Amino acid sequence: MKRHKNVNFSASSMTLPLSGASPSSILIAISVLLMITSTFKPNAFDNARAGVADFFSPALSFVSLPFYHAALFFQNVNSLAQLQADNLRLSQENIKLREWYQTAILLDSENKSLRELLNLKIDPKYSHISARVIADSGNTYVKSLLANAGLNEGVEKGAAVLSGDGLVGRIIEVSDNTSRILLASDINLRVPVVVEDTGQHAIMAGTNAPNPKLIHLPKGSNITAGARLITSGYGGAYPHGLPVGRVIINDAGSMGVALFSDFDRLQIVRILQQTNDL
Amino acid sequence: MLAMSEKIDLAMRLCVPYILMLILFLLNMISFSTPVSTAIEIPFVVIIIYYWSVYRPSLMSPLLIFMAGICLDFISGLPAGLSSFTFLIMHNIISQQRLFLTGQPFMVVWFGFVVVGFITLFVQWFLFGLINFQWTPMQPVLLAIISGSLLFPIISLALNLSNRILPILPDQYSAVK
Repeated sequence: MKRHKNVNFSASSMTLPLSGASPSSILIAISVLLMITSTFKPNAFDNARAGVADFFSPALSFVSLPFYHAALFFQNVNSLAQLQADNLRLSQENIKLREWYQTAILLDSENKSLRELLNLKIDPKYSHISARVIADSGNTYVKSLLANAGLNEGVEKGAAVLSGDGLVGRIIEVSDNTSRILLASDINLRVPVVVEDTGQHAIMAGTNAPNPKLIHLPKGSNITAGARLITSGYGGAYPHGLPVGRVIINDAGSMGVALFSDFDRLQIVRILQQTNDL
Repeated sequence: MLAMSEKIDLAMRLCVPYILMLILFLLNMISFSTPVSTAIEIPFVVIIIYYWSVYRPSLMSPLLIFMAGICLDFISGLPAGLSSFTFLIMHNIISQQRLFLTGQPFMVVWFGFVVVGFITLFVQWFLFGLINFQWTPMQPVLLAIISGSLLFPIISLALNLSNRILPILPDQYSAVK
C-alpha cells in the first residue's frame, strides 16, 4: 500500500481517496442539490422540517423562557401607570355593557328562532388552542414563528392564527409538539379581506415589510385611509370576520395595511380550531 | 497515553465551546419578544463560524457547518440547503485567508467579519430571492449585518474565553501549513 507524503489535513482541501473531491465541496454540492429540490418541490422536506423542529423545541422553549418572562415583566411595568385610568374607564363601560348584555340575550334568542324558521346553514363554530411562541424565524427572509402546540394539541395545517389584537397568520407546518406560523407580513401569504364599512373586497399580500399591501382592488374603489379590514372568508382559508388591520395610504399613493397584531411583541397566540358542535 | 482523569478533563474542556455554540445557535432562532423589538436579527451563527474558522478550525468542521445550516434552514422555514451552502462558502473563503487573519490585530479580524458577514448575508438574500422569484427588502439584511458587527467583539470575547481553556492540540484541520 502506498503511503502519501505531505498529507494535507486541511478540512476544506482534504481529498477523499475515491472521488478526489474535498468534503467541503461534496457538502456544497449536496446543499445546492437540496436548494434545487426546495425550489421545485417546496414541500419535499416537510417531514424533516417537522422532525427537526420537534427535536429542538424543548431546548428552544428552555432558552426562550428568560426572554418570555423578561418581556412579561416589562409589559407589567409599562402597564402599571395605565391601570388606574383604565380601571375608572372600565367601570363606566361595564355599566353600559350590562345594559347591552340584556339586549344581546334578547337578540340572540330572536336570531335563533328566525334561523330555525329560515332553515339557515350557519357558519361552523371555532374554538381556539393557546400556544406560546418559542422561536421566531431569526432570519431576514421568512417571516414565521414556531409555537409550542402541534398535532398532539389538535392543531391542523392551514388553521388561522390570532393574537389578542387580530390576525397573525396561518399554520403552514405541524409536527407532534410544534407548529410553524407563516406571518401575515410574509411575502408568500395572501389573505382575502373586506373593508368592513363599504364591503369592498381585496387581497392583502405580504411584502416582508411590516405593512402588507392591498392588491386586486376593484376599479374606482374609494377606500379611505383608516378603514377597518376583516377577513372575507373567501376561499375558505380563513373564517369570515377576523380583524386584520387598517388601511393606510403610502406616499406613492398605493394602499397598504397597518396590521392590528404587533409581531414584535407576540408571546401567546390563538390557533383556531373548527368544532363540530354546532 | 492519557490517564482517565486527563481524558475526562479534556472532554469537559472540549464541551465548553460546543455548549456555547449550541446556546448561540438557539439564540439565533428564539423570539426576542422584548419591549425593544425583534426587528433587529442578530446573525449569531455567522459570528460563530467566522470566529472558529479563523482561530480554531478543528472545532468547525465542514460537516458541522453543513448540519448547523440544514437545522437552521429547517427550523427557520428557509429553503433547505440555503444556509449550509452560504456558510460553507464563507468557511472556504475564511480558510483561504486564515493565515493572514490570525496574525492581524483584532480590529482587522473585526473588519474581516464585516466584509465576510456582508458577503454571506448578501448571497443568502440573493439566493432566497432567486428561489422565490421575488426579492425581499434589503433593509433587514443590512440591519442584521450592522447588529452582528456591533456584537462581534462581545461574542468574540466569550468565544475567546472558551478557546483559552482548550488544550493546545495539533490543529489537524488547520488550513495553515
